[in-house]
Amino acid sequence: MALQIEESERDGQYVIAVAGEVDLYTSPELRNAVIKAVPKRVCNVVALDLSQVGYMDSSGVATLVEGLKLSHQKNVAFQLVAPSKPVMKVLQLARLDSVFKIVDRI
Amino acid sequence: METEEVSIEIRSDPRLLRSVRSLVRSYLEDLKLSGDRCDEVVLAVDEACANSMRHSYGGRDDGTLRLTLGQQDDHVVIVLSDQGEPIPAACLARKELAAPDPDTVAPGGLGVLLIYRVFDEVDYVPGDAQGNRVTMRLRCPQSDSAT
Repeated sequence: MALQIEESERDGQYVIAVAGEVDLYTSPELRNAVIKAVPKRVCNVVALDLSQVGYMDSSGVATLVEGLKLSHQKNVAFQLVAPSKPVMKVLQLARLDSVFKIVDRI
Repeated sequence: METEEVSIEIRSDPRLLRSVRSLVRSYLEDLKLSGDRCDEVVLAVDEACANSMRHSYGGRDDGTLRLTLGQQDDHVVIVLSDQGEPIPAACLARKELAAPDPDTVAPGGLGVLLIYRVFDEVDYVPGDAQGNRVTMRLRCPQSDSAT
């Protein structure tokens, strides 16, 4: 099953809503969406809605880290919205949960 | 005495990782692992397979991974082997991140770190000329109640 990625602008935020499983096979698709969205600069916040992500591995975490670094360079805020349990689990195991701004809702 | 209970061969195609996760999950569900622990083990086995696909086979999808799941004494024993390029031992050593700093995160090493954090014992054996083998052991809670 492919990853489902929907992009929209809402209240000045560029929202990337992700559903499905993020692994070595699907993470390039997420990476593409993230690295294209951050430099657009139409919004000064990029929000990744991860509430519907059923699984995420280290390639997904690496993609989030890359998005965060790119956002720092471009002066864009980068937020994770309502990460699902599997996403929080891998971020905590990687001890990277504290480096991201995590919000409950958009 | 080790009992190898499940053994499968997987082509080195990342598309198949999802099937590997399902298999590992269903095997673990019969053991008395908590849901959280089960999720972690599924993740770590997926990371080991993904590393083999990316690094041993360099992204080629015509290699073969062999995964066995079994039990030995009070441990679940999971072995993954491949016939790809031996991965330098230094890449597979346990390297803890000094601090949660995104600037120091090298995405490549993250998978290996997760494997070490999940399992009680991890033993990587790169082959001399070809192949890699990693044995991952996890203490199974069944034995705790048996004492």
